Amino acid sequence: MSDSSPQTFLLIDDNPNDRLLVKRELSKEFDRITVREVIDQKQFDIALSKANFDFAITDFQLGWTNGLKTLEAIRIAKPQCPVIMFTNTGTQEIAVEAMKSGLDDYVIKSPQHFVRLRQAVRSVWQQYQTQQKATDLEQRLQALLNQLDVGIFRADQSGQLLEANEALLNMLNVRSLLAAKAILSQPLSAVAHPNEASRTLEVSIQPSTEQNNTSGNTAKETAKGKTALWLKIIAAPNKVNSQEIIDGLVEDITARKQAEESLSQLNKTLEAQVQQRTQQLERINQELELFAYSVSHDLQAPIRQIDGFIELLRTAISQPDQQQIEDTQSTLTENQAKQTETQQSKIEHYFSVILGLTQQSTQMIDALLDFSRTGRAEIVYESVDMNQIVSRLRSLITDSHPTRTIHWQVEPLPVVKCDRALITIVWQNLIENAIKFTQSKEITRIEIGTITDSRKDSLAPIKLSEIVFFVEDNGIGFNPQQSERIFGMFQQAHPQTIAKGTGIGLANVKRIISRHRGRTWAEGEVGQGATVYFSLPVHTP
Amino acid sequence: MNPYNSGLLLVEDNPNDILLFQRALRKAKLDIPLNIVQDGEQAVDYLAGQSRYTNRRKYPLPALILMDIRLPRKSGLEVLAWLKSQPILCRIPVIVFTSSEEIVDVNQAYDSGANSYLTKPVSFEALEDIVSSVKEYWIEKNRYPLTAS
Repeated sequence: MSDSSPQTFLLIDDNPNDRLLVKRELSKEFDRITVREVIDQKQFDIALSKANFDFAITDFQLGWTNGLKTLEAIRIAKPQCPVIMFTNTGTQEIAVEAMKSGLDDYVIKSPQHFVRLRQAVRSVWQQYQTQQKATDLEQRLQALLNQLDVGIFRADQSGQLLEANEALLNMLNVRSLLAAKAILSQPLSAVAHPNEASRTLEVSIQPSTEQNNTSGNTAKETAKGKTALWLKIIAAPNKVNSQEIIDGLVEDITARKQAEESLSQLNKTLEAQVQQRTQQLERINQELELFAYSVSHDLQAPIRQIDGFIELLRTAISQPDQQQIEDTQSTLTENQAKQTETQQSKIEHYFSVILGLTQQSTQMIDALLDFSRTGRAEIVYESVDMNQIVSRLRSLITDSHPTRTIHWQVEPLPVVKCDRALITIVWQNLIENAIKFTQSKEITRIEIGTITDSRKDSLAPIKLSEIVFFVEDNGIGFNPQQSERIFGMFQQAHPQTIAKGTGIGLANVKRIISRHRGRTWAEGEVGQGATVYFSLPVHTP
Repeated sequence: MNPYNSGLLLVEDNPNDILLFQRALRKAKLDIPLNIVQDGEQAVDYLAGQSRYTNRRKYPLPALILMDIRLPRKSGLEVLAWLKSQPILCRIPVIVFTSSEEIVDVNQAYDSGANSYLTKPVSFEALEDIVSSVKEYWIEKNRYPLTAS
């Protein structure tokens, strides 16, 4: 077919002289050709069934039929095959009718027209070749595009679909142009701007749930129909026969859109994580800053005072006989008592103050080290019997305060999953605090228990997912407004003259409990005792 | 109002610091009435003349207040904010006297209405020096408003 000349001719003519004439003319024009001669209906039928010719030349007046009928038969058997009529009997009317039926050319059988036969065959063949090429190209393009799932369409200026290829219909899961038109009318009217250059639009459409197909691939189509369809429409204005139209391509970009969506989702999650981490870091940083600030501020105090007392001591030692001028008016009994002291006892007092201050510094440094350790130590979860810890601490503390009368009321405590060493620090701090703030009481009462006993009502609502412990004392209490502040670093509810402390104990408790994902809070009134609560989650990680 | 009559109110919780300050006053030969309160709540009670401080003869309104920032119960900044919101009482000059050198604390003190900010020195000698300066400027040179009702 790709050869530039026809190879096999079908020659339908019952006049042997005419056939000879045609063969001679054809061999002048083409090399190595085969001419199959047909002189009756039988031969014609065989030739048609074999269809082994690529050009047909027929007479009009045949003994068994006429040229119009042979043309019709050839068109059915080989629709594309070029056909020329070569006759001397046909009229102009017949010629016109034959051309209308698809005849490629018409040549009169007369000596002066013989030459035209060759020209006609040549030009019809060329025309046929060109057309074949075009058809071939179009088929090839169509096949490729269908393979690529690229939809091709043509629409009018207002965006109404005029043509759509198979791929586009498949994409939309519809069977007819009409259905495709309904789906695409809105997006196409959006891209239809005849005066502009090409436009690209990405649209989401609800795919058709059309179920009019009788084939077996319904499962695939309904599955496809579940998700929204993303289409990329590229439309360019075009002019066909001075008619403004829109030509365009449609691409299914659903997969890309879904990938983009999941990517952006991932990005959002990442962003949120980064933000969360940043907040965590900021909080830790803030804590650290506060810590450094408190350390520098509070550790400095005893050291500064040591300097002052050494100066006073030096003065007292170097001027042993000088009677000290009375201290200025003071509300402190401590100072009033000192006014009557002898020089010697004054010197001793200064020594003991300095000693006390150095001990205080050491205690603070130790407490700070503990605090920093509890922040770093890995939490090791194990089943811890709280009764055991509390009773051990209780006997230790009772032994170290032999002069105190302490009434303990310790309820049975549960076994909890937590870090034994860290929770021991919590209990120790809370019980020591209870002892410290009750030192002015004749009888110290300390109650330890859990809220789940339903015996107590705390102001803070208790969650089902936690166990709440409390340590209650009948000590000096605190101002309820201070209830949060007392858990802060170096924060103390009472002046050092009333209760000595480092201001780190409860901060440490809070840190340990929050590392266990629990909560800490306190309730109290001035002079009415205090209750410190801490909770531990029932379910540990 | 005369500081030699009305005197100084020291708001300080640490007994050692109180003692050292008294010694420094004596060394500087600054002989003015001195009243001491040990936490922020007491400071408010004293200045408002309430609770146990109703007797103005015994607990006179001071001409000048020297106050630490870190105090139990109510911080120095809270006391300052309260004081500066009071009519007449707000006239009493307040010197913040603390070991904190943090610019945050300094800024907050002035924002709350402090009239001066002095840091507690590490050496006793320097403390004497500060007390002398306070004497020379705030007691001897500074003029005081009327705060007696």
